[in-house]
Amino acid sequence: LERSVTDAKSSPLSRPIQAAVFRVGRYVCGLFIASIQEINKNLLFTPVHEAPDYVRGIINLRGNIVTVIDLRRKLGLEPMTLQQSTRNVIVKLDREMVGLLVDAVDDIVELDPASILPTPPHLARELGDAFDGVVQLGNDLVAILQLGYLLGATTGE
Amino acid sequence: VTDSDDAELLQVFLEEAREHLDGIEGDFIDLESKDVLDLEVVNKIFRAVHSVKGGAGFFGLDAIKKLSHAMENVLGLMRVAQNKPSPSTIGTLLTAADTLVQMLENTAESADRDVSSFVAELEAIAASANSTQASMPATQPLVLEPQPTASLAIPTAISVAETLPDEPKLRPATPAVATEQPIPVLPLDTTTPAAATPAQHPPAPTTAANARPGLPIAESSIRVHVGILDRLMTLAGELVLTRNQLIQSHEANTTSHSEATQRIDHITTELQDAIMSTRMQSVGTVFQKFRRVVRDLANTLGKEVDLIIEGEDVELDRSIVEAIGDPLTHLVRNSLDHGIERPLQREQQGKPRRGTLRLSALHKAGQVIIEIADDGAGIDPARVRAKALEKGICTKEQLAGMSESAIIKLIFRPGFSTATEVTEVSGRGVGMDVVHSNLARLGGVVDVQSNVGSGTLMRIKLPLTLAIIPCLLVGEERESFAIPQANLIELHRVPARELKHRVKKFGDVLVLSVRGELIPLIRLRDALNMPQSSYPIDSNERFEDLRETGYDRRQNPTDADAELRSSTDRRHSHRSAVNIAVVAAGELHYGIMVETLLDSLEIVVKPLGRHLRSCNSYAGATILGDGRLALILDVVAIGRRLQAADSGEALASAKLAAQRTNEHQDKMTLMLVENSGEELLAIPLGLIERIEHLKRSDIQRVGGKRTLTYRGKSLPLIGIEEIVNIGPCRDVARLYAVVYRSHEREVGLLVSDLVDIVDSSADLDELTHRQPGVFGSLLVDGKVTLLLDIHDITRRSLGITSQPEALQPERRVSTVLIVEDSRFFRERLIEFNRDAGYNVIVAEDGIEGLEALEKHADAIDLVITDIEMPRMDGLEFTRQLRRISRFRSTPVLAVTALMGEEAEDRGKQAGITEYLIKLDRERIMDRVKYHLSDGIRHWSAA
Repeated sequence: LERSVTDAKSSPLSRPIQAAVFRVGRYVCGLFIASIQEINKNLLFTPVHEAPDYVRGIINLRGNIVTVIDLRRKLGLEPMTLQQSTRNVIVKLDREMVGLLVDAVDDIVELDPASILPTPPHLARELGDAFDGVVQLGNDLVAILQLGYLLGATTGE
Repeated sequence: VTDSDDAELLQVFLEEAREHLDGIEGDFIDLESKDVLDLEVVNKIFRAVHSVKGGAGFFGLDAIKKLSHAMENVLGLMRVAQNKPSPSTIGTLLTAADTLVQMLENTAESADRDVSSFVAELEAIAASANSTQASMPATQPLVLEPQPTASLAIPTAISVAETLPDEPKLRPATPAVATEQPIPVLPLDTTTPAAATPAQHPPAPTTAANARPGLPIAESSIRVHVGILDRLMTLAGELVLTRNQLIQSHEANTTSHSEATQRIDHITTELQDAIMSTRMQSVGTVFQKFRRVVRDLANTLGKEVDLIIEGEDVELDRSIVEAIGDPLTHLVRNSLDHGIERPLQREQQGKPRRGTLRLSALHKAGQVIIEIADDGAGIDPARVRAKALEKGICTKEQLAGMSESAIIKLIFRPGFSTATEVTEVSGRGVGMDVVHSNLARLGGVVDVQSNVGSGTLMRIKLPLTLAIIPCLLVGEERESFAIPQANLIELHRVPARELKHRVKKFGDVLVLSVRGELIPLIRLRDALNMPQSSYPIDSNERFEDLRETGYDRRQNPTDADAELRSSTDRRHSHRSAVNIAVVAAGELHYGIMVETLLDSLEIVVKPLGRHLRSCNSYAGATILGDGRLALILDVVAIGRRLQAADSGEALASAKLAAQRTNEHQDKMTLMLVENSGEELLAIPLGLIERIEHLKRSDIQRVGGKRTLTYRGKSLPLIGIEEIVNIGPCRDVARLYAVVYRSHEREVGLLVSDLVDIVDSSADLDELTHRQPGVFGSLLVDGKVTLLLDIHDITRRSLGITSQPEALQPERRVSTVLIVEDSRFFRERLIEFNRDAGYNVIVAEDGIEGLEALEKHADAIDLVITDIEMPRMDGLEFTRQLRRISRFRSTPVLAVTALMGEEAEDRGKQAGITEYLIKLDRERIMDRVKYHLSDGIRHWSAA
């Protein structure tokens, strides 16, 4: 059931960057695939009591202990309810693998870096540094996640 | 030569220089410790410094070159003079070597470093050694002993060549090095800046490559990057897990590929060992640095100390070797600062002037034991006691009950420091508690033994590695947790019926009684703040189901509450038992109550991610054989919070309260039984010999009396309802006979059910329910319970009329002193003794007892005393009684609720003649009579 991100079709656009587009509550988010390790359905969390509330638990990813973050919570929304479409997006942050729980992965798209716009003020006010910017994709405004934010400055690094 | 080549060469040079300098610290100390100059060692140092100098010159590291050159000069002179250098010279050379090391660590900035003062100092030493007149003693704080100068005449080239036997082999092309070696004519002016020296000194630039004299690098070792070892370690860990998995599935699958499984098992184990051994490092790397520490510190403190190092070859995991440095330093400093006395003081005490500090390591039972022993002043328990009181670490009462060794261990408590003044060397506010918890974090344990006047021994036990550790796996709420074996002391399975005695609650603090000692207890789910229901780990549940369960639970919070209560209650029901793992977190021992004990296994420790660093209850996680995860509990952190939560005080007061209840209330251990199912009946447990489980059909009726025949004997059976006004025995197929001895025979009391065994200190109501066969009533868990007088029941049921033996006509009626604080028991004893025809004198505690002894000194023939009494207990009372010559051989019978061997021993030591069970009328009066007739015989013989 794992979907390798490298399966995505390449596009004829000039110097595009591939990004995964996924839904997190009411947000449509994007993440450049360079930082994505894999996307899977490994949702067998072992809870870690006393962990920050946005940590859903830990999973065993081929011998590595991976912390799974409830991205909805991290973005200030209601906790994720697990569904068939729920995915675990594994990213690499500073040599550590971290899982990001998302409602659903919609697509792998190619984005022109030039089309990335600054985060609209209302989003920026709400979530500060969560996004690097936004891209218009069809009807959706895709917010590009900033990994540094997910590194968890809030955990007192 | 390109820049990158240069950089590479420089790197090689630096690595080698570091290797050279690594050893010289120890060499200098060797030099100092020997009585005569060891030329071998001087040469070794000389070569090391020389090759550093050569390399530094080649790379244009001038400051390094200057400093090493100045050192070389001093060493050269030392060689020529063949005189042992003074400690101050060694000191200067050591500091210079330190500076060299620092500069080599940062070559880029080494040029900016001002080494002129060092150079000047070294030159001064050289100059004074060189000068026939020791021309400037006033300006030289560091002076070599004046020495004959004749040796300076010896041609230096020869002496150098002779004493450098290794050099020619390694550098055949450079005899020049030796001949050019300046045993120089140094400027006598010590204020000359270092710049003046290099001119005399043009050794051919030695490249890093040919400056490789030092260490015998055998081909058996290669450099491997630590990262690679870590990776190998991880892989070995993976293999271990896969192996476990394989074995598990194999066990389920029977025999087919058993050979392969076995082989994999062996290979994995061996590979794991081999890889682990690559991470092993000898503890000597840590020990060595103490030679310097001890030397410097002893000098600072004006003490003379010999350091003995043993077991340097003992190997430990790298991470542990790195981590023990600080705790060891602290302990060594402590020994020197507080332990070993000044030379004069030692002589006054008849000890050798020089103190000895022994640092040793050895393997024992899969652990490494490191000992730090000194022959110093030892730790004075009296001072520790005073300090503990002053700092509020313990109360007077707590201290009173502690052994000396327990008191000494108080030094590991937070906030304790025995140094009366904070010295620069050790007492810095942080103290032994930090050592203790640091070691505990490594899975280590530290213990202390000390004798005043003869020294202190610190013993540290450490695991060999931290990467793979044996653990106990426990379960709570369907999750698994691992407790490192290193922290584990023992496991207790407490059956429900014992729970009430063993586990007590004081306020919010649970305590567990372990062999008479109370330790704090915490439920695992409370320790981790686990919600009542967490996400199930069962993988097969569908997500929709998952949500539903979650939803249900949220809907019904009261259910969860009820569940909590019932799970608490469940532990009190008959069948269940609770599992308690007693763990050590440094000085603190505490119990963790868990739902299930799962397994004992070796686990691979994996670190938790950055987002979980704030959760300090865990030391990491591990992957179990079935792929699930288990968090590893950080027993030390949980313990620290446990201690902080009740700030020690609540627990201490709980302990005290518990002790008080144990001490001064007469606790009776009662067996609760039922007969008709309507009344709860109690029988003192101490009187019961055994319980027989029997079928109703086993009971025979002979002449209106019921008996049970077994093992060829017949046991008279008594129905309680025959005597006591209660409902008849329930009509059950199987019932119990409570067997006890009464009136010189065994009898069985029939009951329908055994309910529980409880400790009761409740007051007995002797009025409301007083009737034949019943002492009275008491409340057990809020229920009125009748306390049966089984001897009375027996007497009435078997128709035994009053005393079987009539009172013997004695020449003199004996007098018994009864010392008992509880009115109920006191009255029973009075009754027993009056019925037997003795005179009775009564006292309510030990002090009254002593007064009675004084008042009726001539009359008292025998004493019966309770043990636990307020003001003065029975033991102290007996001790004091034995000091009165009149009562030295008077029989003293102690009555207790339940005997224990240990208590009995203590009693015997205090002078108690015999221990008896309270309310055991027969036995008590039997012994009273025995001792009195004995006493009378003596008395009449006298």
